[in-house]
Amino acid sequence: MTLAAIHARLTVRGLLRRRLPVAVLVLLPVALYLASHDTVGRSVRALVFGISWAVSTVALFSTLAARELEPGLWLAGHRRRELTAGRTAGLLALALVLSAGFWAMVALDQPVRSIGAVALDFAVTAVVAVAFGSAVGALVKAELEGALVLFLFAGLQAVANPFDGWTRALPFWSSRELGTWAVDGPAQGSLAGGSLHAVATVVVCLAATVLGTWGRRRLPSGP
Amino acid sequence: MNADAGRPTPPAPPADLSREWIRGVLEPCLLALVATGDSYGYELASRLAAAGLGPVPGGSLYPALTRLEKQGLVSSRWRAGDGGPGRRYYRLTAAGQRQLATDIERWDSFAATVAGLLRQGATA
Amino acid sequence: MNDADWLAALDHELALRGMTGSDRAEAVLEAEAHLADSEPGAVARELFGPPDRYADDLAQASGAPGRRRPPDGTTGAWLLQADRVTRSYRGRPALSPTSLTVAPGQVVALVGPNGAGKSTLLRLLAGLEPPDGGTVSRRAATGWVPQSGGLDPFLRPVEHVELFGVARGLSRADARRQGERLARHLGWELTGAPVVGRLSGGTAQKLRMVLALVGTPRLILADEPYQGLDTDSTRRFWELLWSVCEDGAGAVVSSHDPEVLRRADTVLELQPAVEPAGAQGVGR
Repeated sequence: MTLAAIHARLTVRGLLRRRLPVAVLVLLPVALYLASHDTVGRSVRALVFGISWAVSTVALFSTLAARELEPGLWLAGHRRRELTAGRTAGLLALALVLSAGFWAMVALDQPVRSIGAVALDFAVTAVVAVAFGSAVGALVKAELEGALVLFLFAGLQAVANPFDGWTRALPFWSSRELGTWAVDGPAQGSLAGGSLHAVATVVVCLAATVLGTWGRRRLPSGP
Repeated sequence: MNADAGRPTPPAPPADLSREWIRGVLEPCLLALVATGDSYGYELASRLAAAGLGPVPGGSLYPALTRLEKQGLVSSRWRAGDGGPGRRYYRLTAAGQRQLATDIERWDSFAATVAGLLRQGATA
Repeated sequence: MNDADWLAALDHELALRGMTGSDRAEAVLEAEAHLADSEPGAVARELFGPPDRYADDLAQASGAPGRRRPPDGTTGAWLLQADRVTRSYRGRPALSPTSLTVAPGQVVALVGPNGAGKSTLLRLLAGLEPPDGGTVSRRAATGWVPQSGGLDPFLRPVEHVELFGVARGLSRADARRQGERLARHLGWELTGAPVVGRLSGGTAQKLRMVLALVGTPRLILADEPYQGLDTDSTRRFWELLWSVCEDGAGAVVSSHDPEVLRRADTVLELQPAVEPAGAQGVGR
């Protein structure tokens, strides 16, 4: 088993042992979904919103917790790339499994236009949320700061008029766009626009993660 | 655990001069004590004290025992103690027995010589 | 000096005199048994004398090679070299220019008052921070014992050991085995231990030591490693460190406990870095 694989496995295990975050991760999206259950479109969008917030929060906590362990592991011979890759893979696996569960729930429960399109929306949301939560984790000092930043973005996303141009600057604009595309069809939402936004967001988040990590502690090339 | 418990008070500790003498005869004395049965450091120290040779500090005792073992005059074996760290028991070897016999002869003649010399001084 | 320290010191002194393996362990055990038999109130130092003198006598009696020349780095073999390294935080000097060489087998004690830069120097030596001036070179894989933190509260000790052991090239099974052995040396059972968040401070500290030593890195850097440990565990830590160093590793151990002076081969005393006139507060 490679270092990154062990790191991924232990990331998942460590996360699953955090009872409260795991409960929030599962229950928050479900609660939002149930609260808007009467309309298909609204309920799917609420669920996606829940996934984005819950997954990015978990990614944030995981990134901050890993900071404690990383100096020692780096000295022991883990490369920085392996550390980040392992943790990200673990987070992605967890987020995608969770999204698949939510997707199954929707598939059984709601008559959506294209259940495949919903799957794409959920998967993209999970990926973007992992990237965004990790980036925030790399830039802030403590859990509270990070949670407030996530709350700020989630709040903006929740209250903003989605047709305003500036909302494209929000990290989860793609989730909403793809959700609209999945529920209401290509006339309302754009697959290409949503996908491009998601890719761009992931790239920006990766850059922020790298910059944040290097700015915090410039490690020399190796022990 | 106190090996002195219930025993009569040992004779007064010897003066500094005797301490020097004891250092010279410590190894033969240890051989003699071990000859009466397997024993461990603390017990040997207690028996030396009870015999009147004063407290023999561990700092002299164990190096002496180590030297004896190195010369093959005693052998040692660990026996588990009750709950404690266990004890190292010393046993006289055949070589040790021969050495002890030689030591006794040499000591008798040495002691007689020294006694004669000292008395000579007293009667001069 | 209490008896546990005296015994630890004896062990070290015997090691320095080339007494090896079971001979050394038995000599220490025998003294320990003698103390256990003695009347309460008996003190090792009074019964046996200073540990170095007693070790001299024992080593001589057993025909050991005699006192090892303390490694000094002049032979050219070194594991770590720092040349006039300095560091300041936000313009406040935290470490005056400091040079240091660690040779195989050498234990360096880093002492000095709070704020003298012990932790800073260790982080520079480990390469966790770049120095502002001067250079640090390392020739060996490094085991790091941080003063606090460094662990994931939601992972078990055995999982930590896997992560660190595999990083140093062990298989997972070997990492576990070695970790268990090291933990036992420190008087602790690794297997079955709950997640780190539920460990006591002392046990977490033992885990940090195990993680620093698993996979046998040849350079150990420890920052106040025995805070929160009882005297027995401290003694066990030193025994472990010495045995690793006898096998050719080197170590730098910081402490404000003067006892460390006696246990190390070399002492480096840091003085608080000079602050610019009018500056207040203490650099980290």
